[in-house]
Amino acid sequence: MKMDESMFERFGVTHEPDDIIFCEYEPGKDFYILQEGRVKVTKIVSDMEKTLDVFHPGDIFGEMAIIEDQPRSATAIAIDKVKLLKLNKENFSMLLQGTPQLAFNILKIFSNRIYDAKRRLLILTLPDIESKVCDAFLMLAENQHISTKSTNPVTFNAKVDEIAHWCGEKVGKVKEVLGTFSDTGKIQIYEDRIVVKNLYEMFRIVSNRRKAQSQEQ
Amino acid sequence: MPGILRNYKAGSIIYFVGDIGDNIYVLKSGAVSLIYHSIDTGEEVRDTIKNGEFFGVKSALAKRPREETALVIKPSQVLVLTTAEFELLVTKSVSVIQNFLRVFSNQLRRVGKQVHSFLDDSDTGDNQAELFKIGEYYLKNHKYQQAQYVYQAYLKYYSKGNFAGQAQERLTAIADAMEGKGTGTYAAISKEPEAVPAASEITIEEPATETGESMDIATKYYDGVSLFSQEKYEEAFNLFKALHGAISSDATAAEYVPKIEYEMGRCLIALKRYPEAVSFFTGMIKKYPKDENLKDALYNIGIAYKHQGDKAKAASFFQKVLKMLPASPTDRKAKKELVALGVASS
Repeated sequence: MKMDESMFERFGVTHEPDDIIFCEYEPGKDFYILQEGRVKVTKIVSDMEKTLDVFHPGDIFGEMAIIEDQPRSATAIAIDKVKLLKLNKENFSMLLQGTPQLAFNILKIFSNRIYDAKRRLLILTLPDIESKVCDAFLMLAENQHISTKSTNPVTFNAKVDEIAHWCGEKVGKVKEVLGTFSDTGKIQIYEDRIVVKNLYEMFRIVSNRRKAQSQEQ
Repeated sequence: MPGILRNYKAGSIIYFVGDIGDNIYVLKSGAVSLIYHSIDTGEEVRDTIKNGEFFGVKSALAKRPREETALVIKPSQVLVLTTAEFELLVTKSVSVIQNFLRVFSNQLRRVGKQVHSFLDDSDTGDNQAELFKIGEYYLKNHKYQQAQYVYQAYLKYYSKGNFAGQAQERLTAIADAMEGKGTGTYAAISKEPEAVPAASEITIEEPATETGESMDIATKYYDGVSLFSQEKYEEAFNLFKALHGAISSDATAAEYVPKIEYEMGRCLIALKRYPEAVSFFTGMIKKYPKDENLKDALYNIGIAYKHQGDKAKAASFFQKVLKMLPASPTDRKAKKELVALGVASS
């Protein structure tokens, strides 16, 4: 993405390796365009720092701050010495005028975000925890481009509390459900991953539940 | 103008829900309806496309399945663009993209709100406490630079927060440790400077000073909240109870008393000790009629009555919640309870 020098003079910031750019749960109004170096995005899950993504020059991150007043959902840390443009809602529209390509890239990011948020909402609208848990696995499969009709074992690098997060349910309750699934051979739970034996079975559970739900309505 | 003009007969389908396609469309003349089912109500919704409007944009840009079926209502002429052609077209005119950004961010905000309305308060958690906890994680793992950032951020946003004292204390300890690491001479806060590098021995519990004591309360309070979230209600209740006893005579800790009492009430409900919970919350409301947790206290009384089978009393408390200003996330929960009880909410 072309960005003239004056842009960097006005909005540029640099960070040293291992610097935190923003932290999970921190309120934030800025978003960033990475110019040089790499940035990783991490989250602390079950008392372990997990890397969710690595950004490269040209990537945009923290853009949800333009939209909602929620705190950051993950921590951004510089891997290398990085150069960033730090922008906010106010100077955003001014910046767009000069850089239509940036505007277009953000449009693509928003399109994806809407799909992700709606997909999450679909899980939450299910009536019971069992089908929510099944649907969370289906969503994770879709994100990895794995067919939800697969009848072969599929491994997810997910932990119980992540599944609970997607279901919007208490960890204890989700643990119980996963325990029953494990007892009946539907899944195998390891410390750092969960193996689903038959995704298609979960797919059928969820679609039956949804059908029943729409008939009620 | 790039793209291909296509003519459609009334009743034809441009794309079906679930299709994956790279095309973006502009209605030139005629009438097209987008048909889809609303996620939360399941009802069928029809949006009419006006002449000159784009459709199929979001799915094409995100390379995801179409969210709606595009049905031709009247004979129509449609301009069909590939995503690449669309990109060329709109990057020539930022205002078009800005309009899309406005529409998309409104959609995103709306879906985000719907998602949050399904989540309990406990799931969204206490941002202040969670931020502090991130600092604790880094400190525990000796990542001082990161811990320092987090505590500084905490103090920046919550200079009078529950953990401000602790954050300040940890920052001092980190600064000392980092300095010590550099010169190799610092030893003041390490127990055994000869045996272990100073930097790995920051002692967190330092209840010696007066401020140290109030920090201790914050830590314990936070431990209790954490026990509750782990569903260890009995342990949480006992911890809060002990803490309540220990600080009730301490004027400097007065701000914690209602907070602790509120948590004790929540524990009682979780422990299914409903009559006790009712009298507990009632006492709280009398003692602190202006407390921030007042609305939640009313809601919890309603919950306790509900579990005891007293529908009328439960409903009256949920209605009290709804009448009280300002509006809060508790309103939605109260409304839900009223609907479940079969009582209209207004």
